[in-house]
Amino acid sequence: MSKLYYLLFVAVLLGTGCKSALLVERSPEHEYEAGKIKKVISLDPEYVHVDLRKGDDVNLLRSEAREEMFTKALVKNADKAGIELVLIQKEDLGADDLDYFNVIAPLKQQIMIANTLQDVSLGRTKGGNYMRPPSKEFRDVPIFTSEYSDLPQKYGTPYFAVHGLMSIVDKRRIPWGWWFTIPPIAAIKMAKPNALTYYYTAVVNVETSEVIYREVRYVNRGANVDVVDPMIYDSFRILEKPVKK
Amino acid sequence: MKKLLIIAIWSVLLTLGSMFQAEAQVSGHRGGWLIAKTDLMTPLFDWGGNVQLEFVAFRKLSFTIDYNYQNKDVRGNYAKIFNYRNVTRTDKLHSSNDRSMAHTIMLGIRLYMNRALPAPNGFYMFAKGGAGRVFSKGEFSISTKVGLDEEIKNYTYKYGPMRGVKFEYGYGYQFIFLKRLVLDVGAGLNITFASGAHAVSAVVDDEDVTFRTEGAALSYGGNALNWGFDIGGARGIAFTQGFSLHLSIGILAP
Repeated sequence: MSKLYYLLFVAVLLGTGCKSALLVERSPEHEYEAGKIKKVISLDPEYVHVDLRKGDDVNLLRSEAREEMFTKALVKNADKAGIELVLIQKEDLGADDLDYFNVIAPLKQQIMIANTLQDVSLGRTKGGNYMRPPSKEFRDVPIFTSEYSDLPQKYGTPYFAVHGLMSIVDKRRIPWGWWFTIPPIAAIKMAKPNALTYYYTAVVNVETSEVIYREVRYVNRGANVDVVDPMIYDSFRILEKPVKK
Repeated sequence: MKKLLIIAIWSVLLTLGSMFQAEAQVSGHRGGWLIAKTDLMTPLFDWGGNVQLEFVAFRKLSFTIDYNYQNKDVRGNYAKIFNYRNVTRTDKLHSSNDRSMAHTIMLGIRLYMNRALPAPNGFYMFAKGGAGRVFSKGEFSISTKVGLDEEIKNYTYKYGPMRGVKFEYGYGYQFIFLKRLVLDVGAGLNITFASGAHAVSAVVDDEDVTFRTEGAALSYGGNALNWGFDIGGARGIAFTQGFSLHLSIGILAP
């Protein structure tokens, strides 16, 4: 019978599987543009680390330290997927780099505003509240101002993107009943923190002033290289792959 | 032999199909879509060996091929069900060192449930089926009372192959760490049929002895736990259910 108990233990342990989500939306034009996306300009990728165990909102030091890992992963995986990714980062700027302050920073702001306010529907699922698109194609394609339509001449591509990664660490909350019914699993769960990793991206075509692709995905694992790398690589593969209707 | 050949041909076709599919579409783990693994539970429970290949064919789907060698001690089972025709009821049986050896090839399919991380990462459900050949070998002794004395005869036997068909379904979790190393933990329920498993007539040590080998057939199933019964009479089929535990380590091909 001891074998049976062992089996039950493993079965229940495995039953507590990984939670994750992937939400992708495309513009109708993406079908025709996907094959042409060979170069993308990434506007100041952001890494945000939040450790709720310490009561911090955002752990700035940790975020800064981990941002390099994220940007390296972006470039490496884009290259692996056959896309040239050029990073424009605030860390590389000088005071005389007016393009960043006058053009790039406002463009990024425009993209974020368009994605936050246009064609967004909020839904409730078992996992909580988050953006849940009604379909994989935009109902009304998010648009922004056309004042950036001359950027392709300077950067050699009309595709600009916003990339971000958010790592959230929280205390694990174990239901009291677990300690009496399945104490080993409760102990294992308690020993490791509750980690969530969110990755988001939005790609725009500045010539048409439209968002052509946006994506949010999360997984309940920590933001280490073995989790971040496959997520980013998969994201670029979906971006460059046309979906036929 | 013919069945094994058909399985081998299907395996190759499936492999090639998966490879072309994988090259064309799947993300895999950073582009990696082929994993070679070995199950550490096989030497622990079955005293054998295991080799597996996993091909990621779609975003959430992969195919597996595995070869399993079992060399399991079935002492106890054999003695319990032993039967033969040329020994009277007053004789005593002593069984020892009975072993079940089996070669099995299985094809499987895995459905990964994790959406954010494409296959082969995360929680998955699997189903696999295959065919194998089971051999039984061992030794036993029979003690017979002749007057006041007791005469003991020792026998050795080797029998096979019995045909085996095995199905397994279950779930597991696969981690990929340090870029290429793979850790796969899983559990499954087995259903196994082994035909021609008993009422075997054979010449053992120059004597014609009819014996039964359900012990070998009934141990051909899950690696951790098995229970089964005969469903086919004198020349029928042994049916087994069992649990299997899997702890595989492997490497992701570039």
